[in-house]
Amino acid sequence: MKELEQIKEVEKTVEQSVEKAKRDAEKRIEELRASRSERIDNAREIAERKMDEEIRSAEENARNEAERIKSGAAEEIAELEKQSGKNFNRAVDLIMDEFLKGGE
Amino acid sequence: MALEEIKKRILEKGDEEIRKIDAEARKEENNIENSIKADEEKVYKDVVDKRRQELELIPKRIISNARMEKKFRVESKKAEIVHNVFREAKKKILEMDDKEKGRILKNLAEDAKENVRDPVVYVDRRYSNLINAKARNIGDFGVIVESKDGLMRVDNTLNSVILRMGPDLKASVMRVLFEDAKEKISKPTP
Repeated sequence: MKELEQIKEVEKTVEQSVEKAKRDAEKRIEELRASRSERIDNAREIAERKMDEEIRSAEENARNEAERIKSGAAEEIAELEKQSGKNFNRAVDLIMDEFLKGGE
Repeated sequence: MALEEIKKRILEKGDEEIRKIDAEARKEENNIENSIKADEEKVYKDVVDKRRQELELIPKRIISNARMEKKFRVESKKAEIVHNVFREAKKKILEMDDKEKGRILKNLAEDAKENVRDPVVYVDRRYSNLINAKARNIGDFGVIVESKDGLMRVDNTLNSVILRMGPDLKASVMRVLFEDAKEKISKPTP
């Protein structure tokens, strides 16, 4: 009788261990499933942040380039004024000559 | 069978079942993990692809606007200078002495008369003493020549002649004004 009880006791312990293993496994799987939406949201946020940074950097570079282009306009206008100043009278004479030729 | 042997077998069977549960669970975990990773990568890629267009368009728009603004400023300045040249030329013509103005009016009249049958020459009242022509309120220097029957008309007034010469003359004036600047400017600008 005593031996039978000992066997039942071992069986009960084993059964409890198996049940615990099942519960642990289910818990791990459930936790993993539950983490899906959070992990996907994180991935989205990381991508958004990366693109925000890239866009901000590209925008800053473009604004610097735009300033360089605009300051190029000031240089170009200064050069136009300088050259046209030198050639102004020649251009006036050209119009007068054409007019004095008599039109048609 | 001895008691210890029975206990050992029960324990071994239990261990084997636990290992089996663990193995199945890990397999399931791997499947879920792979599926989540695939979704993460897809979401990441979707966001990057979608915003890549923004990344390309924003700098392009900024540069393009700057180029347009530059072009507008440069072209406006050119137009202003050309306008000043025309204004100066008209001023110089109007400031000529009467003898010179008379000579010009005659040339303009002769030129127009070649193309008009039975020509009648009209001149603004201000200049009627400089040429043998009928006075009229023309409001400009130069002459208007009309055929007697009024069917033909040549307008050789200052503003009309310059307007007729328009695009060609403007191009020539711009060449004279900016030819050197064009060479210098065309070198370094983007």
